[in-house]
Amino acid sequence: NGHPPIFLWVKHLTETFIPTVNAALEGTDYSIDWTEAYGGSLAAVGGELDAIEDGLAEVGVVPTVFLPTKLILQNVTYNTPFGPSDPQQVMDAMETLYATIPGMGESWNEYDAEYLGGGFALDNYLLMTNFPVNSIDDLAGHRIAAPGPAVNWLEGTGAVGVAGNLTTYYNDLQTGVFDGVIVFPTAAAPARLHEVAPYVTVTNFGAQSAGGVIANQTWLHDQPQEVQDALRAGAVAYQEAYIAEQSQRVAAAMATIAPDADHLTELSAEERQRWAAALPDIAGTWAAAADEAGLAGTEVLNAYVHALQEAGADLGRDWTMR
Amino acid sequence: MSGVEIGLWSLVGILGLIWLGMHVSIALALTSFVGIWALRDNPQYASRMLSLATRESISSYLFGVVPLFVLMGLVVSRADIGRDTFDVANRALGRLKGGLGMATVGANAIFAAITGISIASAAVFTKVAVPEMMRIGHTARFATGVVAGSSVLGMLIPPSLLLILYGIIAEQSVGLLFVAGIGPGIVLTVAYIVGIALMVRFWPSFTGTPQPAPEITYEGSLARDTASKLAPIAALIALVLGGIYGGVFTPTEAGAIGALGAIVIAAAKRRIGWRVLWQVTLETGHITASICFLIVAATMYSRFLSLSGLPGFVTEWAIAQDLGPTGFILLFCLILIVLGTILDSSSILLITLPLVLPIAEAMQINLIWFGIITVLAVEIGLLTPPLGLSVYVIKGSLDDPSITLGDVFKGALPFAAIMVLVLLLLIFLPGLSIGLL
Amino acid sequence: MIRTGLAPFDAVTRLVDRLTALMSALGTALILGVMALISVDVIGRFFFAHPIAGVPEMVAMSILAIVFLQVANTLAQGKLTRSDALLGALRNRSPRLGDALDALLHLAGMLLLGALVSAFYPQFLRSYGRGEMVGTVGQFLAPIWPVHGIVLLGAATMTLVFALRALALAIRAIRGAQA
Ligand code: NA
Ligand code: NA
Repeated sequence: NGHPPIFLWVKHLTETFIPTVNAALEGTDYSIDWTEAYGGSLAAVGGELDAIEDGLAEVGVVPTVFLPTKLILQNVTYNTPFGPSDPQQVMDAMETLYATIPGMGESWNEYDAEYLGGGFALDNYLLMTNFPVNSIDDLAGHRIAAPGPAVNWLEGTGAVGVAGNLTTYYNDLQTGVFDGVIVFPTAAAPARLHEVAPYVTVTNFGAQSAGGVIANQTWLHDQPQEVQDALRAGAVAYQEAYIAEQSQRVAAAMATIAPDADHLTELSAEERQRWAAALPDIAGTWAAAADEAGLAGTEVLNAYVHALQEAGADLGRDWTMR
Repeated sequence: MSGVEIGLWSLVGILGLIWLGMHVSIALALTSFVGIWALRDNPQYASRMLSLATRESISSYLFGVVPLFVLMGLVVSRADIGRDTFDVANRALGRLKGGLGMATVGANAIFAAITGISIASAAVFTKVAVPEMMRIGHTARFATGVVAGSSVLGMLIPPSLLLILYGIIAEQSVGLLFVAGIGPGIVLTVAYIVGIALMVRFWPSFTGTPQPAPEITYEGSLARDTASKLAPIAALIALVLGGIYGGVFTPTEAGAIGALGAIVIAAAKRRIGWRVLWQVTLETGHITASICFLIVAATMYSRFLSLSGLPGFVTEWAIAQDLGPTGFILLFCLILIVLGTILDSSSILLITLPLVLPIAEAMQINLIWFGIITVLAVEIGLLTPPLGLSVYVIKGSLDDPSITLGDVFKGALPFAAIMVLVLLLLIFLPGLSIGLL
Repeated sequence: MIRTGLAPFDAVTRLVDRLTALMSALGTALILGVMALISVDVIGRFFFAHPIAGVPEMVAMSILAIVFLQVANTLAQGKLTRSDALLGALRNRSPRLGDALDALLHLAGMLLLGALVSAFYPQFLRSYGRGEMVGTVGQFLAPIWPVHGIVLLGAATMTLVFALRALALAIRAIRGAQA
């Protein structure tokens, strides 16, 4: 993985995934000799899938969020904003998709890769600004930076959405290039964004599915069944450990970025729906583009929203409605 | 052979191949290729690493602006904006003993605020200041030495391509690095001016004995001439720094705005036409290709190094030495200066930083301060033989075959010594760089 | 260019040099294009609240294209960074020995670039075959294969330039330089 190990999804590869796989292989005739490479020492962020496809790495965490055009279906959550704020609900719905729609797993196979499990989600995205926000009317004319696909979440709100990058948010907010950012708490706190964008608005854009544990398919199929099973067991443990630590970190991060009530605004349910309704049909456009590429776009969209509704998730907009 | 041993031999291999005269980027990539092949016993693996590094190492917004910073510097140098600044500085300092040298340093410091690369400064002031200094009786060595020495200000005073590069590798804020570069830039400027005053007084065999500088002729009033000569550079500085700190654009976007601004101003002064603009952009392309190709190779090399396990090994070794932060920084600066004799600035950053950043982080060293120290230490290499880029550029820009490359290197040496003193000052007085933050 | 005095060989070198110069001109135009693009984006964002979608992606793709359009010409003009102190000293003493060493150094460059071409070719086929895109649906989308094609072309041309220069230097080392 191209990120350094301070990120949870890298940390639990070392701390949970590998020990679990090793433990599962104990007593069998097999063992794995791991060589670990993180933080850009093998591939840069966004290059992980290439590294796995080329056989440079056998197993890795691939953040799908940086591959919106290669792994279209896995990015369904970014195209259905105002989904559930609980990452667990998003992960469960994604596992349902993997279980019920063959196209989900097959889309990895095209890159000689196979999904082992361990899909993980980023915590509930929110808005951080250098001016108070209580309704979307407050956004008019302000420049807001957002990661690539989230720029769509600002269309039609009156704000100017600009594609940005976490590494430069602090500086650009400080000098005033942007007036705010769309970000998730566990990234905002270590980046000290609250120092330059002290107003936190809990918009409940929703938690976002962001990646999973992936293996090179050719290599995986050459492995004995015991090894394959151990890897999948490792991925399950990885997901559990990830979510357990994430919920702790979110609470701590929220306390850091919004230390008092003056700096914390929870967007009311009506305002949230108003914002969601103001957006163009992001999900429809995305699903149509995926369908055109020969993928199960509409099917995935409908199944995803359906799974969330069944789980009783609080959705700001029903994206299956055209 | 263990991975660490392969990693260590690769250092010997790279230095040897570069010394033999192999292109630096080829030496880096070839050694990494063979090294990965040896580590993995698989040439295909090595060539796929090469392919991946090519595809992803420079393909980012941050590297995308490299050519624009180069272009801005080159346009400014062609548009005689450097000459105008020199004229004005000369008017202020010219009557002092050694004043022409001091004026060169002062003009370079101002010029540095609009150029991101030292070679632009070196090229401009070779044409502008060297003939003037020699005409009033300075030696060729001293005249070129002053230009070489002050050219390093171009990459210390923001904007600076090296600080941007450091910011990318170390994941530090480029804006903060720029602010931290201002203090050291001023300190080095003052140190050069004091150094010139002392050299002219106590070392006339080196500097030559200058006559008083002749009055500069101008039309119209003094004030108006000064204003018209200072206006373009003041406008550019205001545009670039004002834009960055006024929130109009980011430090990376400043390259594009600055280049466009320089072109507009140069065109308004009728000093650049389509033809010259094209030549300058072509030259920009060659410099960019050379730098970025080097970065691809260096990425390959740093990936090979981490595959070999050498960085972890060195980190553990350095921590076990119990040098303490100051000892570690002094040792690192010494290594940088030695590497600076044979490598160019960006290669040194790309080769060493992946090794030392984890150590610096483990020792809780302020990485902004560390960045300024690193960049200054690396820039000493611009002046030292056998590979001193600023000296090469000066020699290339001179129209005087009687001045040899050796002369320029000898002239630059006292200024490299002043840099070492300033470097020590920065190490022991961190407030000079990070006091403004 | 390195002249050998063999008319047909020098003619081929000249032809390849022209090809690299043409590619380099395209790269030059692209630099000015990127400058204009970022400037319009900044102006649009600040004054009209209308940034251009996809600028980061376009700039990131352009730099790869710019470098590989320019690099063969950079090499052909002898501007690729190297330290030639030793070579210079050797040439002063024995020009033919200097040429022989330099030929070997260029041969190494040819081999490395050749390896890059052979490893990058499947990559290009892949991004072309799959129609790989960069950007975000609803904002900006562009295919990446043209850029990969340029990388391949640039690397191949650079291999050729390395090969021709190595050969020219070898010929000179054997025959001695022709004035
Ligand atoms: Na500068
Ligand atoms: Na040097």
